[in-house]
Amino acid sequence: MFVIIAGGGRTGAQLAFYLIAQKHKVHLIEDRADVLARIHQELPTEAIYQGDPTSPHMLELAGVRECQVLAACTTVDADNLVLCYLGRDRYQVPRTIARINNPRNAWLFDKKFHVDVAINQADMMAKLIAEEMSLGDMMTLVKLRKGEVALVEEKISPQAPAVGKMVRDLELPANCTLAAIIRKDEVLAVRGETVLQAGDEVLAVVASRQQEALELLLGRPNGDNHAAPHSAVKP
Amino acid sequence: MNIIVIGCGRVGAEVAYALYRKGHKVTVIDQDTAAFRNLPEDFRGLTMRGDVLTQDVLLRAGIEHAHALAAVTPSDSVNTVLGHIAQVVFKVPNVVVRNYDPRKRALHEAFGLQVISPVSMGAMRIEEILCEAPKGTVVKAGSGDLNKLQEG
Repeated sequence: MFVIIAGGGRTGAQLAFYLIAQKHKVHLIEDRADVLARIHQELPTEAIYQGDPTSPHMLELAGVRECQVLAACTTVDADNLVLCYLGRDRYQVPRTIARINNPRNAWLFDKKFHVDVAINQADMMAKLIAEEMSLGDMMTLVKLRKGEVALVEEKISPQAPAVGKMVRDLELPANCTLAAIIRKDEVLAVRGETVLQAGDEVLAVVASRQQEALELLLGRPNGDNHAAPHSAVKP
Repeated sequence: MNIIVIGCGRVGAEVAYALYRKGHKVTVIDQDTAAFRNLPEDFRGLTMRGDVLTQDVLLRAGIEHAHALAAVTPSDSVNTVLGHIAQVVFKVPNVVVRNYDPRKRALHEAFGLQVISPVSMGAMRIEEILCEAPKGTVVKAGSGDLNKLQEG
């Protein structure tokens, strides 16, 4: 695979490092002198293109017409948007991926700017941290097929209806499959006779519209964890 | 007309003030409150501080009902992104973006936006004046678009 990475900060450089280790062809574009000094120590010289990543001339030099993937990893959201748009509109790049720096700009990262995949680092971190703090809240790990299907993880709450039940007796939503159960750091294959316990982490593939039904089964009985007690009081 | 001006530097402030004087309803957005000092004291349009790429800021500025929008920040990428969403998402009928770095003009053109390059225009004008070597004094008026040649 031939990948062009725009922006050689921590994210871009680390991505380049992984891809090169996997024998992919990588061209990374960067223009900040201090960043260049660092990545020259980490990456092979032939992978580094020195110049403004948003300039069409620089993209062409780096081979944008031939690449399979353009990864826009600069620290400026507007630059990443413009890169994805140019990549598809002018150079027909098959796949564009963009990094979102400010989660409040996330609404821009979609087909408006020809962004195929948007990576929202701050949002992912925040959700991971929130996950560590809560028991019984479902976390979406990956969205597939433009968000119609999700791979989710849920830690089974002690009060959940699923506790003590065999998988075959669960009334799972129609479009849902349990993929694995993690119990005390061990991965268990999911069989019909597997009995679910409180604290099990369940990985499931579920249609997004049925995520809530699954949560009712695995989470706390009153799935509405966030309802504040005073919210029922009418003014 | 309802007009939104994004970026309140020298260009933005001058555009906003000129539009206000013509009787338009002008809203100026900038991420830095200090930028509004560029506006003359008698400017009576709205000023809004905010992160210009966020949806709530644009909605609060009334982008859904704007008749025209000028994106004149010092970032070509930001201006292009604003111009594109104004046209494609909010269907603003008249959108103009400022090209800040002349080397990045192609970027705005790729998006099919109306683009103005004050730097290039200024440079071309200066070059013309230098080469034509007009007799008499050159007096500049306004923002430099009007030139008056005094007969010697």
